[in-house]
Amino acid sequence: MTLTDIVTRPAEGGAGGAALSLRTLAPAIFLAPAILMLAVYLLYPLVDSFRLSLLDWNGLGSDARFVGLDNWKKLASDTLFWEAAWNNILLAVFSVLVQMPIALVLAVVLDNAGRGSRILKILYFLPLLMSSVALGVLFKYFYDVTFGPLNAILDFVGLGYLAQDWLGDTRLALGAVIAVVCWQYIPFYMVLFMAGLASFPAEISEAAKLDGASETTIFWKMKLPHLKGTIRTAVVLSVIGALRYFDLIYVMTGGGPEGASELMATYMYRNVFSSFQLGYGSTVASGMFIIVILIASVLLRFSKRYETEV
Amino acid sequence: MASSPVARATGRVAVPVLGLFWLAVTTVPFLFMVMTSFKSQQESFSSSVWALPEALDLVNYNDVLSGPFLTYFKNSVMVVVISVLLIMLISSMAAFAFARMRFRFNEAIFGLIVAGMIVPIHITLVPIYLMTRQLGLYDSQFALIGPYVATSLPISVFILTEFMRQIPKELEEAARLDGCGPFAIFFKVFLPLSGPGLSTIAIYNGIMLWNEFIFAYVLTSSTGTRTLPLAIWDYQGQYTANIPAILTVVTLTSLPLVVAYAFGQEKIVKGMMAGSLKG
Amino acid sequence: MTKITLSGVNKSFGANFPVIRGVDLTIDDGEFCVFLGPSGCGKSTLLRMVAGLETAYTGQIQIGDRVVDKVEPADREVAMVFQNYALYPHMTVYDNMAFGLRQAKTAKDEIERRVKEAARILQIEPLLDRMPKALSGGQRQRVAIGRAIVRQPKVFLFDEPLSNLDAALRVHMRSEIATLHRNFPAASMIYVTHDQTEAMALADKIVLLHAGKDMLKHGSIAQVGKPLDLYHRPRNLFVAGFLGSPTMNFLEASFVAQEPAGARVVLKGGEEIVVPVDGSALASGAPVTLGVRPEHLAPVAAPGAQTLTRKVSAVEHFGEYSFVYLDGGTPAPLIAKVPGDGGVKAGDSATYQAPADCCHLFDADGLALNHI
Repeated sequence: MTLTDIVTRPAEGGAGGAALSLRTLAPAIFLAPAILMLAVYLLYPLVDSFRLSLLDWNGLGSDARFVGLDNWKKLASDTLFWEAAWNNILLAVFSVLVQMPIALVLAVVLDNAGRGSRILKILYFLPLLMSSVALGVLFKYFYDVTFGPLNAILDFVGLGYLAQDWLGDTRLALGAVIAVVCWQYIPFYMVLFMAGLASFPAEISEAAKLDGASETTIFWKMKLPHLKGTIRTAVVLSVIGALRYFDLIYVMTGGGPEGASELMATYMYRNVFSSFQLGYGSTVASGMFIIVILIASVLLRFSKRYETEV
Repeated sequence: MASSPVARATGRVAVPVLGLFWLAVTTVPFLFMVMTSFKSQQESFSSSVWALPEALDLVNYNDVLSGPFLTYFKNSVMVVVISVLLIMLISSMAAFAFARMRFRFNEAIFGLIVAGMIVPIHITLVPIYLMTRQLGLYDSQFALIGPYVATSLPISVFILTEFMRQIPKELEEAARLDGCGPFAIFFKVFLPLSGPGLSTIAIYNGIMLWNEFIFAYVLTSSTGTRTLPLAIWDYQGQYTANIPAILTVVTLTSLPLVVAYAFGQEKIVKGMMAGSLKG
Repeated sequence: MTKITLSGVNKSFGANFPVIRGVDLTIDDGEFCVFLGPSGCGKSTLLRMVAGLETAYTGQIQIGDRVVDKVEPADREVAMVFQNYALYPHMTVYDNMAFGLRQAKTAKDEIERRVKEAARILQIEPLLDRMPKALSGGQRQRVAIGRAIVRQPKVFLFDEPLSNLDAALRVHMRSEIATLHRNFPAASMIYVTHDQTEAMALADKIVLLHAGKDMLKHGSIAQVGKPLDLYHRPRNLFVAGFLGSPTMNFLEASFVAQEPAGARVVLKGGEEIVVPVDGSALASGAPVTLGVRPEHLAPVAAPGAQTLTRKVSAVEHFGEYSFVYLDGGTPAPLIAKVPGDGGVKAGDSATYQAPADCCHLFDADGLALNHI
């Protein structure tokens, strides 16, 4: 990297040689801390992860053994990994399908709620302040078969027969976790959509009203198309977030029961820190990286919109 | 056609009904959490989930606070404050270079750094774990600062670069005529003018790091060094079936942010929404 | 000595988009020089070169005896007033004015003395503790000027300083800048504007820069001179058309013969006009352009020498004077600016006399023929 040719200063200074070199080097000096941090804690680990993925190593001794692409071959036929990846995709799909409509409805509701909307928005937003560990533990007990309030509520409203072992049942565990993810993030997308709705020019809906359009028509024909970009951003965010999910699931189910809620990240963690397979765990991490980057770049290319106005 | 009276009436009913329904959905888990934290372990087993606590019993709080809880809290404050200060300094310096200087590969380097937002941090976990051990930082609060700063940089650099691009070029030129070199321009003009951008990244990263779990979980192991999210984890192991005690810890760990939120809701909402710039 | 000399200055954006072309210019000690031209002509770029904010040009710029091409802006002993004022929003008025002196490590009491003095001159003493956002546009402009004054520069540079003010304030500030010039007789001033009124009112010397379709001339000097010289003796069609409002009338004509009184030309309408210029280089029948300003067309009762008769297409009344629009200009309609209501209405035929001394003649290349 050559950081020369700085134009914020004359090409060659007259004041003095020492001052000049300092100025020519200015961009390098300003960038150095950021680049150093990113090189050490992002770029190097990224590369190192691929290196480790070629090893058979328990991480403790110096008995690391180079096994070439063996780990990658194993990964390709590792049904546990692919099931985990599939769960990530389910998480992504259901996150979008559940969060977007509810967030949109709530945004419209608050848009029409007048004075109460501010306080509602503030209260809705509370879950976003919580750490996923806190939420994971809270909901673990919320879902508890015997002591959890969820089954108690169902019982109370006469739906007691629906009571379940939410996190213990292989068919329900993933869904139960997805519900918590949605519970936490719906307000985020709601605020995003509210900002989008707020940027809809009032004159247009006034003009449409003069043209005889109903509120419903204005929403479907004008406001929703106006939100298209925002919704696209929301979908991209939601999907990328879902592919990298870890904390909440790790705390609530640890990937269980029987891998029913296993995600790529929890599977990686289990391999490294429970089974002490550093090499194979790194292969899983690198595989996850490739999948996330592939899906993200396809999505970003597809949506073409990178930024939104907050 | 203007909206019919029927449609308007449904609208009038639907808005408060839906609004209150989601309020209930949001608050019920929190109510459960806070209520249970005031119950004794015995009471939590015997009485109904929805029964109010028999007394405003602070036993759980006493219990938790007399333990190492405050150490976790102190560690969190220390790690987050140092990290956020470093993030503000480092990212604003880089942003200044990207927004205001012309040098070779400016846009390419900026693009690469911003692309760092998509990288799943999990791929860095094992190498950072190994590196931390080698550096002798394992199980110290300082182990967390490096990864925290680095993972926060891409979005912070992005936000501040956008922000600094909005600062009029003439201010920089006026400062040059007033005798400022690049460093004086940065520290005396750009940094003071970037207040709103800096507060956004401070709030966003502050909250993210306050709640961060995986690095803290992997890079620290003892009570003396761990941060608040780990307090929940550790207490959960320690109290096993004492649900009220565990939920007391959860309540206590959530309290600082809720208190902060009470003082600056709008700013915090706005700061958190910076997350929508990822993607 | 604060003479400013630009020699052979050229600048391009990119490989082949010249913005400044072959500028040779001298601004004398204490002179008020205005860079004038339409937007995009490079006048601001030229000013910023003198300031040291634009680099990467060829040629040489001298301030006083010193070649400043490689001198930092801060070391050029110049001060600049920006179009949008460029006040530091996070500093008080006092700190804004003191900032440059503090950077230069001026003694504290000296800073205070100079800031107070500038504030007194500009009548902004009560504002010194305010922040810029609490000031009106005119007040900000004063602070910006104050910031320049305290530096006691050899050269003041103004980059369209009045264009963000409303019309009334602009006239007022214009006279204040003229006063400033009188108060600092030793300092040279360069003032950039696209407003010819400002230029005429303020300048000792106007530098009019080319812009527009003719890419070969874009960014070069069209004419340098005293304001009234440019008005009365424009060197080419561009200058003739730029200065004056409404703009000079142009009529297609062909050269007939050179006479002792001047060049005789015949208009499309058949009228013959004698212009007191030297057209001896022209061949008979050569196409020329006759230029005459609207305010120089005088209504006369009947056609005669130096007159033209046209149909009136419209009349605009302004009370004190009127614009009479006539058919047959090139390309725009002819306009006569006449006192009172003009005495004619649309559809009338009207005759106007173009006094020989006020006529200009341009050859096929657009260059003015020399007056004799």
